Amino acid sequence: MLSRVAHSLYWMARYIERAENIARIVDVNLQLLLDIRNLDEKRLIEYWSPIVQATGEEGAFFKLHPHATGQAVTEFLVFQNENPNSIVQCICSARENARMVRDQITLELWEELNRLYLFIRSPQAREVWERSASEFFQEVKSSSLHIIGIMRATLIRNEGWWFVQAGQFLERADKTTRILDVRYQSLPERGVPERITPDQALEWSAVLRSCSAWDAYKTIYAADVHPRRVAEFLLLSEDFPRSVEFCVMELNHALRQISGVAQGKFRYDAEKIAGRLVAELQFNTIEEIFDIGLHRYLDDLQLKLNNIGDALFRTYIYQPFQNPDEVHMVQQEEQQQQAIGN
Amino acid sequence: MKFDIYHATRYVYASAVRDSFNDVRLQPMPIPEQKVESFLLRVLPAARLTHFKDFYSNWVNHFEILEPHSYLMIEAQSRVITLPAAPLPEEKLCSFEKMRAAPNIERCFDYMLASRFVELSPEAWKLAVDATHGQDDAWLAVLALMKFVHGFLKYESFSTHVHTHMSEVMKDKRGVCQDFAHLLIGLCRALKIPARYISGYLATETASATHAWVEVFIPGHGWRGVDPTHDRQIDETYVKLGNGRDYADVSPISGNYRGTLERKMTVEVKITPVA
Repeated sequence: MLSRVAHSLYWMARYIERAENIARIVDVNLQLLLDIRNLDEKRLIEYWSPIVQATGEEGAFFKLHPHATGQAVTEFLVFQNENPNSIVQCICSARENARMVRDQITLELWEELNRLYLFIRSPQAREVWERSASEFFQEVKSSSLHIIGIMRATLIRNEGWWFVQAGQFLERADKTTRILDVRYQSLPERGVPERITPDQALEWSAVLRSCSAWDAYKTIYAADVHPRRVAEFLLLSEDFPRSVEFCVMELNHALRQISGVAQGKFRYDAEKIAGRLVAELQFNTIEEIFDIGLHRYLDDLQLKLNNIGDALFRTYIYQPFQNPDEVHMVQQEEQQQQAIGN
Repeated sequence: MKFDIYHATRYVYASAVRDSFNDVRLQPMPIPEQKVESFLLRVLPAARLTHFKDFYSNWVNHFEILEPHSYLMIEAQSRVITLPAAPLPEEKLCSFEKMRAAPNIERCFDYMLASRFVELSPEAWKLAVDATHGQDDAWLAVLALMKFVHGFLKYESFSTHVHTHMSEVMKDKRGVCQDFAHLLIGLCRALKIPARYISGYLATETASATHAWVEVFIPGHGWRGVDPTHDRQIDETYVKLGNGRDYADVSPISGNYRGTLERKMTVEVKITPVA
């Protein structure tokens, strides 16, 4: 497979997943606002700032907007063309990547992705947005899930598929850590908080809903929402498909399908870091994580996930410029076909 | 007949080479005329093998060795049972008139044009027409061309090399079975008879080696193997590895690497009949 093709498939999957997760973050936070009493301007800004931080685009944001007001943040994360990671821009990038490898993907996948692109670029999208933001996010989320389903059901399982998987799960793991990090200011720097207020419980259940984790969480912990359990569920669950551990395990598997190296061994950097991170998540407890401090731990986790992405790029995609005096390719000697003893 | 086939190819490079990408076409084809009981490919230095089917339905094993290496060994081991179809009688089976329908029946367009080592020159056409003496049956024409090639060329080991073109063979009138096959293909195609190159093994008491022959397409009878080197139709001593337009499509091992041109290749083929 050409590096260029692998690169496009990988980023197509990443951008789809990214658009979906940003929709999740903004959607849940907009809904959560309805539950908060005594909202004044200062509280609103306190509320929206961490969400900008969660997406990792603070620099770009404050260049465009002086204050983190609700309207500025949602505009920035959903429509703003200057933000390369706004939902609109993510979908455009996903489509652009898909277009470059149109011959490698299926018609169904292309049509759904193109439909989403056409929708989001149409004036209709603004209309839906102004009528009901949650309807708009529903459209983005369900289309993304639809695309993931189409990929699973129609893409051929070759190397390209594993690049799609790697992109998808790397992005999902990263975004889950960012969603979990949104409410870190309400936590002590280290250790597990003793008691939490009903308002805080609401905020943490919003975190769960951001990850579609509310129902899965309820089956295990009932309606008892506590940051310790929420963090444990979203970081260390082996079974929940949006938890960091689950995603990193899938990512690790995909990387090994690409390189052909068995579990427990490594040949390239990406699978080395991924394998190490899997072991770390598997043999960590939530108490130890809170001892380090959730925010610090998540920061570190994001760094490691970025390193996996970089290593994958260096190993499979990046082609260093070759000196002209570099050794040239030559043809392997071929054998003549001759029956001896004729 | 049942055969154990061992085919080892060893490369020794004067200095270490790297970035070696190789396609191996050494896996006998699973076709009705032969049953492949087992196939094993070993590569040293160890490399991950992947496989795919190429445009001509040949089974290709592919591997890449990126690290520097000064030695490369490719060992193929297979066990095959040959179940050849009965040879066609030497009588009128298909007129040239009926031959025209061939492209409607079978995907044989590629096998009617010039290719890397085969040309459709006026000289070839003249040879073909002279050799068939106004024959109106395509099958009898093929047999006549095979007899003609067998007599026209002198078998001489090392007189040609792996990339010798059919036009040189025609000029020098000598070659090995690869060249016999190329010439016969060229003559058949000159008369608009679809002909393809077959790579494989021949296992008789006197010969036990890689071999090349030709298959022609006769509407109503399918692809039929004819061996211009021995002037006969193929029998149970022929094991088929792959087919293509000419040698370039079915080279047993082809590839590229970065490094020295100073290298030595040795090939060892052992074919043992199994009771």
